Amino acid sequence: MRHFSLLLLLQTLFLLPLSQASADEVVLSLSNGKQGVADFRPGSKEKPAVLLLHGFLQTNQFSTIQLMADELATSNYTVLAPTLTLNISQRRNSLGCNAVQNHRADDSRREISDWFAWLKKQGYPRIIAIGHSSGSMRLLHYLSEKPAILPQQFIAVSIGPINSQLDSPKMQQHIRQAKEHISKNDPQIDHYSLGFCRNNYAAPAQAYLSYIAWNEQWVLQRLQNSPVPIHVVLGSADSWVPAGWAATLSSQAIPHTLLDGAGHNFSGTQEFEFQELIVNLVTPVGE
Amino acid sequence: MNPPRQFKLLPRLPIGGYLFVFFILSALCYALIGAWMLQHGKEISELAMEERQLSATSELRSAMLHVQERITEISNSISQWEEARQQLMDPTYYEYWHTSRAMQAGYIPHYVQDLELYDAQGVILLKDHHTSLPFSVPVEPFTIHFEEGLPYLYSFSPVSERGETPTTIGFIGLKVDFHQALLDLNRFIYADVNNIYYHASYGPYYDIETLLSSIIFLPRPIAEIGQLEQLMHATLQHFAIISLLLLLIGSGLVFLILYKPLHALSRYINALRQGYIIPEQTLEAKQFCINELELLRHSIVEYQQELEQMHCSLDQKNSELWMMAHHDALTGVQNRRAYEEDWQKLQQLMRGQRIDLSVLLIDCDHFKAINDSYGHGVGDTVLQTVANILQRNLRDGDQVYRLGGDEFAIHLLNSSHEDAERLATRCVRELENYDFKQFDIREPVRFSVGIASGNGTDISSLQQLHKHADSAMYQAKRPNSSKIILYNPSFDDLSHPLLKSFH
Repeated sequence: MRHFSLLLLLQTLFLLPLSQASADEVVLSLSNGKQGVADFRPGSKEKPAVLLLHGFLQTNQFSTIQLMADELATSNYTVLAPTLTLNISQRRNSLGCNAVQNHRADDSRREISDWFAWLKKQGYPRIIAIGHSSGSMRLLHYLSEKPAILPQQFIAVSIGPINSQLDSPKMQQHIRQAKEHISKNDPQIDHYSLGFCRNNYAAPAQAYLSYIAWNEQWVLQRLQNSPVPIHVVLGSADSWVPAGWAATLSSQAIPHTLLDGAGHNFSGTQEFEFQELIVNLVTPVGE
Repeated sequence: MNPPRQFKLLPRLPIGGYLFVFFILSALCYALIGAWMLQHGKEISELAMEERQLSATSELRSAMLHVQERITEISNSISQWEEARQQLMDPTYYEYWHTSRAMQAGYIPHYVQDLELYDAQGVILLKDHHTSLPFSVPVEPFTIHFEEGLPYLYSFSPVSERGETPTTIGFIGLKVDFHQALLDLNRFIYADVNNIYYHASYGPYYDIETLLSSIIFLPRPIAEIGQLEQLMHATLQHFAIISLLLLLIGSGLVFLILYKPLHALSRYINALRQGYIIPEQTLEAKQFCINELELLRHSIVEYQQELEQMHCSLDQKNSELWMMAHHDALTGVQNRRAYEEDWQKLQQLMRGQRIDLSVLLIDCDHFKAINDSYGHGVGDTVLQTVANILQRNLRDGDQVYRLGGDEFAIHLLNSSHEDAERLATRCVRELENYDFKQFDIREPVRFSVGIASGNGTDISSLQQLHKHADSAMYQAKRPNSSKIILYNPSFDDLSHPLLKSFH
């Protein structure tokens, strides 16, 4: 019995780094002419591949994405974590709010489509999509546009409207300002508020307005009408989603799990619980 | 015979003079040592500064190369910056990116004054954009130009596409405040970067070595040298103070243990020579610190004591001789020599003074007969008896003289002729009443007395006083005459021929 335990421990010690170290960077020529990069960790082909999509202006190296990727790879799932180009070929770093944000919502949707196609091409017909924060919004946007490839399941982590204060005077002023630029056919960059960027989101008007529609109503409607099974994961201490957001989801009969004490990124003591939850959510589909 | 000529090594000077010379020699030695130390210190400083200059040059060269390397790193970093790549691919918002991101995002350090992106052909992305960089990429990747006297580094590096076969997709141009970068990127130990001057008229430069040759700079001062110089100055000052103190102490010691004893000896010997020693000059109670001087003091004191003993002995002998010369050996009264000396002194003393003086001459009548009849022994006894009686009847201070044979003289100072007559009467009475028979003299012994009196105001009579007394005595010896006669000028015609020859 003692020998068996020792062998099990050794096997675990050897296999654990192997499964995590086998991540490859994939560079993909996207349909918009840019080159996208992604972390690809091949797992069992018997299990569905998991596509992980990062949040607002982040990359696939963001901690929440890495948490999920590590845990899923350990569970022998194939994991693909692309970094959206945001109109920068082979982007590998997060963008500041002041950087030129000339990307539009549809650009990301097309890139997601490209990555789904690539995964399928790699021999993974079954795909589970997991998004974090605005990554969930982009995946939701992708699902709502009748894509050619649908995932088996969509797990929306920390999903919430990107413009929770859409009705605020400031936001209304920004929208008027953007529309004025468009009416004047003025392509110049102006500073707006979007996501966590407050008055410093540097974007042309068209690019900015492409995200404005992603309000609370838009999210709820698309979650309810999702073509695939969805599950929302929220942290009870998430300050980025609107107050009472979990209750709203409940009222709309949207399946969700609320992790007590967890924040928007599930860091700290809730990491392991979060990882376990994700694997548990993926497993029924995988089996 | 002249004394042999001796070689004099040193001139004759007082001790103070030699001390002064010693002071001067010490000061000269100090000045020479100080000058030697300062000169060597200066040579060491110059040598160290030459070494420091070389180190500073090497340090500056390394610093410049470091700036060049750092600028290369910054260029590489910018070439990997995705926002820059974004602009190379789509420069639509280049103006915004250049102004709001490239120069303000904190991505490039402040000594990079300007940044421009160039396309794959080396042409600036935005031609109507205000820039201090050239519109096209030059051949040389690094050039240094001077603007208003300060060097600016222009750096151009290619940006390659990511992938296995990288192709150049553009260039990055940087304008760097080279001097500021030099200061910001380096810590200088040897070079004084606050005092760097550039030959602004030269350039452009294409390598660091050429630029280095056009720079004038100073090395930082070496703190240790300053400390060494301070130490040397402090040492010299302390040495000077200590030397001065030692000289003063030495001078004090020389004064106390050498000069003062020598001076005391000198004064003592001088006083001895003059024959008058004041108590402070005596050497008996003194003690000298130097053995030789103490020995000398002992010798002088002992020698002086021996001299004093010799003087005492000589005085005693002189006194005895004087007594013998001035006293009559038979009677013990003063003799004729003493009489004459005293007479001269009295004359000097009384000259012009209102002082009375009486001279008494006493003579024993027929003394020759007594001598011949009873022998010289009896005669001598008579003379001794007369002298005793005369002396016994005189006042203190009055003197009896034996002028010779049986003749005696008495000087009575401050005495009138009446006083003289009274004394003469008393003496003659006592002599006549004396029992001479005890000497087997059967005849009565008689005495004759001549008296003369004078005053100091009458010099001529004073000089003749003895003669007058003798005249009076001559009259007293005459038969039937009074035995005590006071001089009368009428006696002059009757003077004894012998008296005339006496004076």
